[in-house]
Amino acid sequence: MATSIVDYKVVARPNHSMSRKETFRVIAVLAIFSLSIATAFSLLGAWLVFPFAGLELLALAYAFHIVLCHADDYESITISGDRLAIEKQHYKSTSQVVLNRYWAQVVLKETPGGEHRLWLRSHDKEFEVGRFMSDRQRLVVASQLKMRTGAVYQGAI
Amino acid sequence: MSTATATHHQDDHHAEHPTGIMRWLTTTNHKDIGTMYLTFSLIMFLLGGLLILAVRAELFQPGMQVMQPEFFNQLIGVHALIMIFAALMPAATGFANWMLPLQLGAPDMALPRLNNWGFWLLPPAAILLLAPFVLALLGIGDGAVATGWTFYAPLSVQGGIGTDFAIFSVHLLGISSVMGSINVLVTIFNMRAPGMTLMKMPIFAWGWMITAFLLIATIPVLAGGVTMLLTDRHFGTHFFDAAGGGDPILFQHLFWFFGHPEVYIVLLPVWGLIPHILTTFSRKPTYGYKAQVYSFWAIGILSVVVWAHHFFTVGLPTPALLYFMYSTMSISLPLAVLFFCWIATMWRGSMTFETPMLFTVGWIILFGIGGLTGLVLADVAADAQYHHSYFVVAHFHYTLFAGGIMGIMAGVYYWLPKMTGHMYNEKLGKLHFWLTTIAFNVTFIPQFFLGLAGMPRRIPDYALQFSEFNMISTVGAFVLGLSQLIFVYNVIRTVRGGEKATDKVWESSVGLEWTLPSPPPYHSFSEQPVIK
Amino acid sequence: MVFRFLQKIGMVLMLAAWSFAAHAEYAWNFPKPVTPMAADTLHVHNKFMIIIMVIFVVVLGIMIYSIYKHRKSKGHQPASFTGPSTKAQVFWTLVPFAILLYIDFILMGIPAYHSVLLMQDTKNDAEMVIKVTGSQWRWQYEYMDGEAKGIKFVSNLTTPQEQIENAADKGEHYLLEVDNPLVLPTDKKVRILLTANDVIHTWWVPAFGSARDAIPGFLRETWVKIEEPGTYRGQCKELCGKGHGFMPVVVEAKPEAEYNAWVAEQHAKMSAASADAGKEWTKEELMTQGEAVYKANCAVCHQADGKGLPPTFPPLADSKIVNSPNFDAEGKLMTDSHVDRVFNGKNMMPAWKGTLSDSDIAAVVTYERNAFGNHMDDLVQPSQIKALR
Repeated sequence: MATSIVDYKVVARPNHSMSRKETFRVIAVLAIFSLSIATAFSLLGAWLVFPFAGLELLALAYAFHIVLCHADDYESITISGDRLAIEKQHYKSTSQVVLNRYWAQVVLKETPGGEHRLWLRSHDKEFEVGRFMSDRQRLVVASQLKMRTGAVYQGAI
Repeated sequence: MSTATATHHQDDHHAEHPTGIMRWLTTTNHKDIGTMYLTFSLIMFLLGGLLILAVRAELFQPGMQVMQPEFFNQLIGVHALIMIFAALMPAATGFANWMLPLQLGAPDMALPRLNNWGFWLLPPAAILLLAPFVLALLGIGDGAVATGWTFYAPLSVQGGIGTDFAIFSVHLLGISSVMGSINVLVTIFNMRAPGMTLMKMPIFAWGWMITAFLLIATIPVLAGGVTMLLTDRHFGTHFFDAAGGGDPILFQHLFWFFGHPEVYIVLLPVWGLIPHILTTFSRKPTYGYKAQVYSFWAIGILSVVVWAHHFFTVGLPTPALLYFMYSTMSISLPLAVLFFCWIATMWRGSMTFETPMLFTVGWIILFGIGGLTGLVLADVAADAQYHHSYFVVAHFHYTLFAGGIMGIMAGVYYWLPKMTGHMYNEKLGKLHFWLTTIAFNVTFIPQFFLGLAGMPRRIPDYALQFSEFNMISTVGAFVLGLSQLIFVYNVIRTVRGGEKATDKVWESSVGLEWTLPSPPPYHSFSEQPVIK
Repeated sequence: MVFRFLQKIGMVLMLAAWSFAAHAEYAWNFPKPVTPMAADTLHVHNKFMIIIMVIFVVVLGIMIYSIYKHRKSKGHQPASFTGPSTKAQVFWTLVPFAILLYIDFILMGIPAYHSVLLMQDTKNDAEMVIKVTGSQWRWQYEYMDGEAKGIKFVSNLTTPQEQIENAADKGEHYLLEVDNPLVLPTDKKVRILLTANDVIHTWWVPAFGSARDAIPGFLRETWVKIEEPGTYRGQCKELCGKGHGFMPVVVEAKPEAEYNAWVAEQHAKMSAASADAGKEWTKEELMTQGEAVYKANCAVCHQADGKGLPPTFPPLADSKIVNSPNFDAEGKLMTDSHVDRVFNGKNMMPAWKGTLSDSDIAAVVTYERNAFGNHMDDLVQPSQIKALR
């Protein structure tokens, strides 16, 4: 991995406009608001409000939790020397595939929706890349890879 | 060489989408879900309208003509529940699904699968609400919930199986709304394009954010309240039964603690979309963006502390009456700021009056009437007269039909070309506007006078002095109902085809959604637009 | 072209509606007030209506001016301001805000404050107290103090079913007429206590300006001081079930002397009735009175033919309860017997012991047992009911 000369590197990560701290702040504000209402009603005898408020806040917190879990997801393609490395981070698992640069083939297929999906193929194995890219970005990356790898396959799915 | 250890992750966004019915059942695409919400809303709007036309037919003349009082009570309650929970709220959620990702520059909603579940809870909820009508025909039970949409105990404790069905239906609707709200919040907070700070967000997103906050704060109260009703009905509790140490008024507190914010839950998304339309057709930037955002916050907060003005006549202590009166009056202040900003946005612009703008201008006037009559309703002593009379019926139809549904219609005409890629028929749109506005006023202006003259609401038959105005109102209601068919026709026609819409659609539309093609590609833009 | 045409139709429709309404004898505002509270309410209402109309016209005027002047078709070039920029502009945007504050909390707020205090002041100088009980679907009145103490009666709708079903011409006071109106003296402050037997009702007479909920298990209060003799009509205005539209409030306000005469007459009737309750009634007497009581109180649910409206309102014809004995061998009332159900109620069935007199209950039970094809042939005597109290 630690090659001195990096010919080409592209990193794609989804956009996250909220930091961890802000997430906790939003959840805290909503929880305080909702729980104080539920507490007030419970004191008036309507204690059945409480479990509903609790369940709802759990759901809310869980939703934000899932989003936070994927905050560090990314995908990178690095070309250095003979090596073409694809690194993917999904939640906590990182996976890396290393292909031979000159054996790697760029596969670009058009979906019925008019968009494109991008694979890198080597030795009969295909690895999809570009999950976090827009269609236009995928096309650009595909053409850049094409110039730096073996061959290109282009066609419809 | 290749040491592939990756567990291949198949992402929904990039899977080829299935076709046919499975596409709609399993879709997690925000546009598909938005379309389903809007379609469901339109169907329910027509159904709710049908129910109330039956009611207006009964009220055409004094005497019982077309139905029994029991059935009448079922119709009015189910009409309200359908219009509020199954027509207005899903329409707003439909717009949120369609437009928020586009406006925020996000590829999709944050939690696509939750989005799908949220929608698919709605049809069962509607079926639960309506099923008792059918069951009654089969000889099971005595029809749908007959308590009005407010479920006041002890009347609702006394009611038949329709009440139980309605309680479960409300639970489902509540869960669906909470799911939608969580999704909207996560999307707004986490999916904004780089550079788009909260104070640079489109104002529609702001309206929806406050709506989502309000839903999350108040839905548990409604859910708790109706569950207590259920246990009172079947499990021997006495939450609302004075004989067992309970208090029937507690239910009204619970209900309206949800019910009053509900008004703003329905209206805030509309207040969010109106500035977009005004800006577009006045060719002038939004006036007082910050002032509008702060007003949204002020109204959101005030809305949870004024609930008891819905039951001034239950005999609250004097300090409580005064508190709720003044706090209710103070809602007029942020609302006035909004009106000021809307009119200031039009002021010295270069206006044209396509259908969305017509609806918006009509909306401002009619919603203004709703707001101003709301101000006088805040007066406790006079409210003793207005309360539960037709004056109130007219008032809340000015806020919820004019302020809610006409705003939604403005939004439909405004965004439909973007969604479908086709222009709607302008002539039919204008015809729809004029018929709706005129018929709406013919229907509801007489109801103000009916209320002043002393006609209580929710009565199936009335004294002779109320005959003329009721007759006018019924005629208006039928014209109003029929003119919505023009709308339906126009929408279907636009979906099917018609003149191509440009990306920008309108001459001076501003916002990220107008940078995309019309219609936007199935996979929304993950372009990561940068906001300067 | 089409729009012009439709606009015209709209205008014609509005005009037609207006002239139609103008020809009819019609109130465009609250009815003529006859109590201090109603007068105050009307005053406040008129004032507020003028205020909001002024606001409406001014705001609408500005908007219409803008719509007329600042349109593209007139070649108006759009400005680009997004908010007040100079100090003077900020000041001018705050002016409407200040005006609204003034309207809300001073112009409207202060009279509203006084109205609330007036409305809530039920006890000071109250000269008599009456109790109003709402039940499905009738009002019951009881005089709590003074000369009239002890008078109590039920007030039922008297509009015949044929009128409601359009089988007969509707009378002048269609749906607003009762058998026993509440009689009140004029110029006396009457404190009205409200409660209910089953669900929430609202006692409302528009000419009095007082509406207050009657809540089961709780007492609420309001007051009236009627300044003009006459008959005043109102309705229940809280949805209370299928008979919600059919439980009017009728109040007869009489000058003091006439009122006193009415009180004396009621007392005489009551002592005659209690004498009646002691005597042995014949079947004919019981059947005649029973039929009248049934029509007034029971027919709304169990129907005039005793067939009921199942499943909510069970039939009386061939009913198990009606066709089984009331008292056991020792003369004790049996649970779930006919008399027990009428006297004590159960679920939807109200307890009539608080509403009907001994002779009424005895008569109606006897009637039900011998009508609609039921042939129990036993008589229930008022003395037997009296013994249950």
